[in-house]
Amino acid sequence: MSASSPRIVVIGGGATGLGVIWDLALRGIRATLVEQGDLCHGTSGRFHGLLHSGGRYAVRDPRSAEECIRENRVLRRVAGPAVEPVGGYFLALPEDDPAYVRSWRAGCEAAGIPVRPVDPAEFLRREPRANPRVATVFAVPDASIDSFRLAQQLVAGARRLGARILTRHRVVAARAQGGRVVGVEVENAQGRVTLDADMVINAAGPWARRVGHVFGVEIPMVLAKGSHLIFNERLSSAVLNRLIPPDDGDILVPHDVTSILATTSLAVDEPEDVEVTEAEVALLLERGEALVPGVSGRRVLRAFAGVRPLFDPEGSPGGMRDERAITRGLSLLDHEERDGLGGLISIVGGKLTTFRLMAETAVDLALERMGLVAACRTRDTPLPGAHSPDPVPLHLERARRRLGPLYPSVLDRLRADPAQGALLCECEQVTVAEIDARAAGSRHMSDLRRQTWCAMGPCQGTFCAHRLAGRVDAPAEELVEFVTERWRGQRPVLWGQQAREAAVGRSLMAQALWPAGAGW
Amino acid sequence: MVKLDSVVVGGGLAGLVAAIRVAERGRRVCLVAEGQGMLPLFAGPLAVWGAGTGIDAMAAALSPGHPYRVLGAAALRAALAFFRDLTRRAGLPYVGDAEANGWVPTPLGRRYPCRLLPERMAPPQGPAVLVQLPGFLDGVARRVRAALTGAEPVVELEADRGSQVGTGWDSDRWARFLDTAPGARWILERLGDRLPPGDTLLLPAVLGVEGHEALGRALEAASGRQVREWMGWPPSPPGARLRRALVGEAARLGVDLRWGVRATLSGGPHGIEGVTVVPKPAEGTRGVELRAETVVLATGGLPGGGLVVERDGSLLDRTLGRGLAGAGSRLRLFGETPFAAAPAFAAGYPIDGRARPVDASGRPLYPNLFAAGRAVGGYDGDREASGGGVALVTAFVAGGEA
Ligand SMILES: Cc1cc2nc3c(=O)[nH]c(=O)nc-3n(C[C@H](O)[C@H](O)[C@H](O)COP(=O)(O)OP(=O)(O)OC[C@H]3O[C@@H](n4cnc5c(N)ncnc54)[C@H](O)[C@@H]3O)c2cc1C
Ligand SMILES: Cc1cc2nc3c(=O)[nH]c(=O)nc-3n(C[C@H](O)[C@H](O)[C@H](O)COP(=O)(O)OP(=O)(O)OC[C@H]3O[C@@H](n4cnc5c(N)ncnc54)[C@H](O)[C@@H]3O)c2cc1C
Repeated sequence: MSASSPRIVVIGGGATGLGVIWDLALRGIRATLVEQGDLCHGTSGRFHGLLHSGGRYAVRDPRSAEECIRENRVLRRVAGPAVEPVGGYFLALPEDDPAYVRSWRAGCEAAGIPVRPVDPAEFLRREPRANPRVATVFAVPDASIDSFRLAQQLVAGARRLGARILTRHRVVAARAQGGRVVGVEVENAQGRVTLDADMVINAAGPWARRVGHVFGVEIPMVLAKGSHLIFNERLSSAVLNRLIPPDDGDILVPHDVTSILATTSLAVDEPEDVEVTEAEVALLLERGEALVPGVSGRRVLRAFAGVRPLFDPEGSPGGMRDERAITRGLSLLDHEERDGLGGLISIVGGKLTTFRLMAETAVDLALERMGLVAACRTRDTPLPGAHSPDPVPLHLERARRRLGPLYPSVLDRLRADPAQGALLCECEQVTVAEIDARAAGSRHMSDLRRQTWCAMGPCQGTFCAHRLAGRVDAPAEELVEFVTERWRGQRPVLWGQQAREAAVGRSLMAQALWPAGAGW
Repeated sequence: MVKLDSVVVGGGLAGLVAAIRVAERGRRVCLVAEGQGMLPLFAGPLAVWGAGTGIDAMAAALSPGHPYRVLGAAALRAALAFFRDLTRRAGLPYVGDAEANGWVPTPLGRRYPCRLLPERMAPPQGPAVLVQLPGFLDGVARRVRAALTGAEPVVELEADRGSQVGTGWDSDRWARFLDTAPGARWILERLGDRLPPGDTLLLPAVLGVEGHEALGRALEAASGRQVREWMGWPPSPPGARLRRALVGEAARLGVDLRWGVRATLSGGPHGIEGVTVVPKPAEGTRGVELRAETVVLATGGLPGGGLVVERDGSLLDRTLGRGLAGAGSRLRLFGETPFAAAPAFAAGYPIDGRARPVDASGRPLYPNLFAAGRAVGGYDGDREASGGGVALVTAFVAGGEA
């Protein structure tokens, strides 16, 4: 790269960081993104999967509500198959506060969220499993969003325009001269490298405070863990929200062939604190009963938690406060102005729904600080794979949704060799062709899982993890690590049939991986 | 009401072996089972003790509650000998050494230790040649050979254009194909000649279920080599073969086999007094009452469905309607990693020297109730590689008492 072209380093491969690198690429700037783990290894891979209409924030957090509905409209247009426009309902039960319903409607109106009253009988015809005691129902434009898919689209688009994306690279130190950042030091499996930079954008989500420390600046944040339960079936066809002040377990999101019930909210100390407790599982099931009676008797595949990266200017560093009172609006930190350190910007808070807006805001400031002018184009530029021109048979539709720009090359493989059509993962219908095509990029089992959804269905890898390991020739240690990661999510929900299946899976893996077994 | 000498509840490895043993003693026995248990998933080789130690040394070193320790080394030896005889009679001879481990290659290229193996899975003699079936994902030959020297040649069979063969079939689908005449022809044509040099032809364990014996011999004749199978992934033909052999033997001995029914036991002061059997699904149907002098509980524990983990973390034996000691909480029941030692994986009834479930003070729950297989607790078959051996010795002793 020539000495005159700007050198920008983006920290964090979640939705926000990837949004930043895509935004930069569209403005003609070839930047570098570093991510300590895999893409979406942080909160963006551990969230509820809801493309918010903004309804949830209509009363308490009008700014966030407005950001959500605006971005909801944009993403439906540009993100294509990562968004499934399932729609959503807010429902109030007879015991719920009618005053809240009124202020909610007013809030939605103020934020510009379209709300349509629905006859409860009509609603129950559409959602037969929902609570029959429902008194009031409104339809809103909620949708579900697949962040793994979104990440791949952003990466494909940015790379095509020359961006550099380095996974498994962690920022460990900063270089500064005369009150300006001039570079970062990153560590990977091979050692340390230095990346020169005129501008660094910190999009490290819940790790943003830690990254701030690397640069010697303090970013006050509150980390709030939220837990989810995944069911093995689609319990509703649209998103179901309770029409009450935001609380635990009050939203059910249909996600592909599963449903996700969430969330809880507990203050934690570290971004890595993502264990789900039994009490949280019990709480979610209990609250979920109000949305779908009998939900606690349904089959839960796994539990997982993510950590919200909330910016809290009033809080003491790491301090505790009712996190639901903190805005979900985005926060842009100009460290030149705040801390007297040039060349560093942090972008935190927000939602996955608003990642594009966060990116736009951060890049606008970065360019201004660097004295550059280029207009944002992400609002109107479809992501790669957003539109497929030719209609395909239904059974390939799922593969196409997942594959986006890779789809044609996978079709070619399938035509060339019938054995490529073998299903490596039956639950998620992932063919060998798809794995092989992906493995040309990364052969890590966990990358392939996120890219294809392999091993994330009802069997949780019991019948396909070994196939994946065999196909990419992953060492036994990697397979052990992989099933251990799957286990972490299953453990909190092991009862009934699911406990039985886990015991069977353990026996099979223990045999095939022997003697790792003797001293596990 | 039906009167019998003995009822065995459960139709997995333990239930079938126990019923055979009871029937051999000339008693009228009925086996009732809801499903097929773990045999369709059973890999084939019989794991007795993963660590290489001989039986006496092993039994002496075990903790007091371990079923091997409770039943003793002599019982284990007798059970293994019994199983050898039984499988020979049934046409599926298991070979090997009770005192030392043999091994079988796993799909991930490890050696799984086992003491008795079906002949077709015995360790290969001399240099081997591995066969990769087209589209077969449950065992990649290049990986499996890591269990051997790692340098063995691999013969890659191609999928047929225009036919379904090899489009991602699992082991069961292959076995059903190879059980047919066109299937046998397909494989014999491809592995008849022009093979790289080697003494043993090593394939995944898919060489048929019903016709496995004849097909194996035909393949040995056509290729001029010994034919061996490595361990696969469920659905597992070697498990299906073993099930077929045991069911055949039980039927021949006059065991009354009732599949697809769920049993509940009712106990009284003198012991188990009745077995109520209802077809599954059970809701609302009236059951048949069985009366028997003795009952064997071979209901498979956690994986077999005999023991259920409740949402509060307690353990329930559905058949006896009895709670078992849990771990106080669900999270404590299971370990932090899948393979860690954890209460759930050793859950089941402690037994006495006659294989009777006992309470905390060591007294039998009922004088006429015996337990076998995973229904028995106090061992971790996965970590010890002992599941097959424990199923066998408990079934052997329970079947000798009931
Ligand atoms: C329980 C829960 C449910 C949620 N549900 C929804 C929802 O339904 N809809 C919605 O819109 N939003 C939801 N959110 C919010 C949304 O998920 C987050 O706001 C969003 O994912 C944050 O993205 P991010 O890219 O800023 O952070 P992250 O996704 O966490 O990305 C930060 C990345 O930075 C990397 N990183 C950290 N330190 C370093 C370093 N030193 N060097 C290199 N890389 C580093 C991390 O590995 C990580 O991948 C939810 C959040 C939670 C916690
Ligand atoms: C997946 C798997 C693979 C294994 N593979 C091997 C191997 O290759 N080699 C080896 O040595 N060991 C293996 N083992 C370990 C060990 O051999 C098995 O645990 C053992 O075979 C279990 O036998 P079982 O008869 O106790 O239980 P199961 O085979 O589970 O049988 C239980 C039976 O009880 C029935 N049942 C339960 N409740 C009722 C009721 N109320 N009424 C009627 N019927 C009821 C079930 O339907 C079933 O028929 C494996 C274990 C597992 C889990």
